[in-house]
Amino acid sequence: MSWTDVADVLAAACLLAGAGFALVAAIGVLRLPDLLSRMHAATKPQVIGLVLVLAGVALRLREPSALGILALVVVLQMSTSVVASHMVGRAAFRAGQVRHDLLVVDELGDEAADWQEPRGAP
Amino acid sequence: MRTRRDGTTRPTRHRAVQPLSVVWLTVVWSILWRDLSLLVVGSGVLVAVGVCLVFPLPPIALFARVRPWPLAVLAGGFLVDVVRASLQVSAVVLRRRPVRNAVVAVDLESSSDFVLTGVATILSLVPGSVVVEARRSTHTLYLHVLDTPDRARAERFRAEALAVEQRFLAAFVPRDDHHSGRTA
Amino acid sequence: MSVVITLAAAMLGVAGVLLLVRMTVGPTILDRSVALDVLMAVTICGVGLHAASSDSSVALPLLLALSMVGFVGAVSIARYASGSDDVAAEDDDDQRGAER
Repeated sequence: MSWTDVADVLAAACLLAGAGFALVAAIGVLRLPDLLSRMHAATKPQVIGLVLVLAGVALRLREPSALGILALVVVLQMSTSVVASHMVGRAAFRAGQVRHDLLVVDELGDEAADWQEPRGAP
Repeated sequence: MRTRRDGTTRPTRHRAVQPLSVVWLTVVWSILWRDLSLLVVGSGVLVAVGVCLVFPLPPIALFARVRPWPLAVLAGGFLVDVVRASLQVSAVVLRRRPVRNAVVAVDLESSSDFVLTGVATILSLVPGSVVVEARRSTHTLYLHVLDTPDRARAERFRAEALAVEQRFLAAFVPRDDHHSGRTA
Repeated sequence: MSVVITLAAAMLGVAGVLLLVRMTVGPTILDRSVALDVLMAVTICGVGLHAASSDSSVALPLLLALSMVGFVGAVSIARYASGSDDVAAEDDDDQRGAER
């Protein structure tokens, strides 16, 4: 058993685990009750699923030049998904898309009350 | 702002070509070419300088120095957090019990914008917490936290977030507090 | 290896279908944009899977492009749905928070 076999087995495990995380995240996006909870599930394939799948690809390709591109993909996806998730979360809160009956503690709600009327996302 | 002799003011101009961004753009260029020859690196530097001249950006000079070992601790803690939180969120998704959430305000100790941005990035990349609102004036992050059945759990999350900030401060030693935005 | 690839592709396919269901039922535009974001991540995983199965790195620049432009849709939808595209008004919010 050479090291390429070991790398192949590791790659297979990474690919399966990454795809599994993506599947669970999709189930979460479908099942969870409100928008912000769904966003928590959405973070998962964007971070750990992507890292696992791309690690699997790197272990399978075994080229140093491909490694650079894959690392760049991870960095770019992480830095952009942060921007997107913050913008969507803020828009959800400002548009009143939060189910307050699911909140145990709400330390923003009373402060945000006098910002503006909830506009209601279309 | 800079004042002219006749009393009018104009915004301070900074150097458009910054060494850090030139290095970063050259690295990206050579990754895209998948080559590290002299021709690729040389043309990369030229293109990077050109990009910096055409699209000038204000410089980022918010931390004094990076300490390697605490940076490794920060990265390792981030990885552990991501794996643990991913498994937790998966468990929440797959179980039958309905989920309760919380919106937690975290008052950061540091008053630097760089620390605020870094901590917010780390916390929102970890599944289970989303930055809903960030207030720059008081350096407060409002985070939506998944699966907090009671108030004690919310307090525990607040302590974890502050621990992330401590690790971040250990890795990136901030310059001084004289540029602080707390009074702004 | 091919069994693993098939299994992972099936999981990603099911995930894509579930996300399409969420995109169809909504109920708000922000839900749809979150589902679209996850679908983009699933697409990236799928292209990576193809690269691993065909053992070629031809498709990797596609991954790069997807990861760079994937968030633009979510940001513009969020900008639209929050109802205020007025940057000055948001700064005003911030100042009021400071005065309090």
